[in-house]
Amino acid sequence: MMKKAKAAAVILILFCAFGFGRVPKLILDDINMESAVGYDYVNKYIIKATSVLPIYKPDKSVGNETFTASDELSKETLKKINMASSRQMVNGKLEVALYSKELAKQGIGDLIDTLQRDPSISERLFLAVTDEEAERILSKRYGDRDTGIYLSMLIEQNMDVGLVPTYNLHQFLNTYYSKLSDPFLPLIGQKGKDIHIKGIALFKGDRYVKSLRQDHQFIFKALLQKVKQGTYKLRLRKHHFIAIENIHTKHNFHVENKKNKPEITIQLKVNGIIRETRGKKTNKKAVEHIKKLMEKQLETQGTEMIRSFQKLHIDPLGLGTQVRSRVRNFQDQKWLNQYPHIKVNLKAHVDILEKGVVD
Amino acid sequence: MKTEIKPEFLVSPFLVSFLVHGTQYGVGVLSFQRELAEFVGHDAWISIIITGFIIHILIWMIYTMLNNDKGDLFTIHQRTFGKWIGNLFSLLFILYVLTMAITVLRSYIEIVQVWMFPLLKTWPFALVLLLIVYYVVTSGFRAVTGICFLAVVFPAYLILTFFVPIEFSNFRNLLPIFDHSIYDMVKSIKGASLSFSGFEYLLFYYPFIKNPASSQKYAHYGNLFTTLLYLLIMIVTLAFFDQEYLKIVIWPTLMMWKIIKLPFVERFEIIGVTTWAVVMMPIICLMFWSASRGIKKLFKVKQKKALVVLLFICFTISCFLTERETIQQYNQWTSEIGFYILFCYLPVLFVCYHIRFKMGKKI
Repeated sequence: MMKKAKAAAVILILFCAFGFGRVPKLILDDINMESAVGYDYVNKYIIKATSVLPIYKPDKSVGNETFTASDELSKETLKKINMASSRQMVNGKLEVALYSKELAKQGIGDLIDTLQRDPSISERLFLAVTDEEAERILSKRYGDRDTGIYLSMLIEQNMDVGLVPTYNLHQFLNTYYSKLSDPFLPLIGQKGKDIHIKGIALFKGDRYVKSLRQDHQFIFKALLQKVKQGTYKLRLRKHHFIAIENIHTKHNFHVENKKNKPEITIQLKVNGIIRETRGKKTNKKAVEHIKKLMEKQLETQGTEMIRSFQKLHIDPLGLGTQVRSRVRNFQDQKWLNQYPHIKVNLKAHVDILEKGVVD
Repeated sequence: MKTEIKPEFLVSPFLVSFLVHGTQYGVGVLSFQRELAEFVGHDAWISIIITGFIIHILIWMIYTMLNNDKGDLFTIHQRTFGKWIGNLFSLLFILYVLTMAITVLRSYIEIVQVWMFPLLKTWPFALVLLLIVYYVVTSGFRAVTGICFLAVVFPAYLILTFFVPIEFSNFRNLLPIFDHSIYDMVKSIKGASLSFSGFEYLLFYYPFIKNPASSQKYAHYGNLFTTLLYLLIMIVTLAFFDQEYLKIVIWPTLMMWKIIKLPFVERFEIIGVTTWAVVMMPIICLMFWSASRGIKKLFKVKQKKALVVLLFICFTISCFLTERETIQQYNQWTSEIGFYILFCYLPVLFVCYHIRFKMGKKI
């Protein structure tokens, strides 16, 4: 009797579990997985969201479909997009999120919130700012892939070997929440039919303030991370340039006078190989000259760039975190007040390792 | 001792390290970093070492009492405070174990709801989990130990995953060392207590160990392993998150898994959460085993009947905890109670027991 009651209880529990414990299923073929999303500015309260999703055609080629909707909340736009779509939209495979420059000027903090709050969105998501409307960039098709994958490959490739610092959603959030550093994002622009990375958009908090000058991009990445495979164009005289390739860099921070007014010295070590010259021989004396010139050029570019950051009260290089990790009882507010007047020295040391196969 | 446990129900002494580590390493691992970093920021890893050390002392205290008494919590309570007051304290301790069990169960279900299935109802899932608990606990202590052993060995591969976030980490975040006052450090220990609790069940299963006195070193090994593992996770977390960002992340460990990308699986934390079912199962099993055994000894009822009642209470309460805020509030209370029981009550008991014992000898 007892045994029967027990068996009945087990069956009842299992029945309840299967009956009430189910969650709706999502079958891969019956959902739309958006691969990129773009946000545009409509007015102060309303944003326009554009979703791109890949369409896998029977002949194995990949097409694109874009949906656009406007609303106050970005999750609400997803609902509106769902109304226009034949299949349920999910965002688990999102690769890239784009923000138009105009929107970025108003602040993107609230829009980042939906990405960060949603557990189905990867921390490796790439964020970028677009020079024009995000919708225009997303509605076109580039290369042989769908736009989302294409954009993410474009950004990733430029992070690996180009001049864009490695930077994903996680790192953005780290710098965004930190009081001592400010975020930045790659800036994407359209050139004719193609898209390309135009530069770097600098933020103060969640607002876009300025884009980095083209010639500062190399030194920006070198001072932020280790450059592993960079190229640098060295200007000798007017119309005379040298290309240094396979550059890898290292930097070290030294902070002096920690108690009152910190003084930062950055030592930058650059190793590279000469790949192309125009109008210059590369004998021993000339290489020495090139080294000196490059050191000087890097130093002026670097100090110029840091000065411009200090003027804007932004700290994308994270100098504040560098000082914090070296100073006991660090006070955030005191540092923030001091920051524009801090003296930052940059010392570059260049080594030309090789100069190709001819002298 | 009144009743000797039959030798076929005993477990080997070395399994104690699995029992201790298995119960310490639970749901707390997914979220303990935040409570610690709230007070001591980048020095949180030092608090982990200090807490681990204190736990070693507490384990030593428990063993001194148990070795002396050759019994368990109930005999210790009875001998120290007399029959009635002692039994009352035992009952309160059982209540504490029950609240802890509810915390573990509800926190895990909440994680599944937030990270995997937002539409999953609490009660059917809790029902199935508690059915497994019933099955394991009624099979006896040896089965519970077996589950503990599995729960340590099977998810061990997850240790490797804690090295992946290093790619995006900045170890300068940890500097300067010792930047916080002693007072802050002490406060942070309170936050760590919930994730280190689990060794106190030694007081319940001590009579079930073969040559119990020889198992002390294994208990210390278990705690040492927990401390080292927490230390690794804490250091990686501090390097991976900025301080301000860490303050708003509810489950930092799961956030760290989000960065892992495998060619065949886009989101690793799904695997992590699923594996965690194996990690938290033995904790609940051991808790219910301890609580039901306590009820059995106090009220002289059958353990199975006591177990069913306890499971029912747990089920009902965890169904009533529906919102994030209430769950958090509840967890905070349990954490608080746990802190006082482990770090205040156990030493007090230790002192009382010894005073009593010495007086008893004189008379």
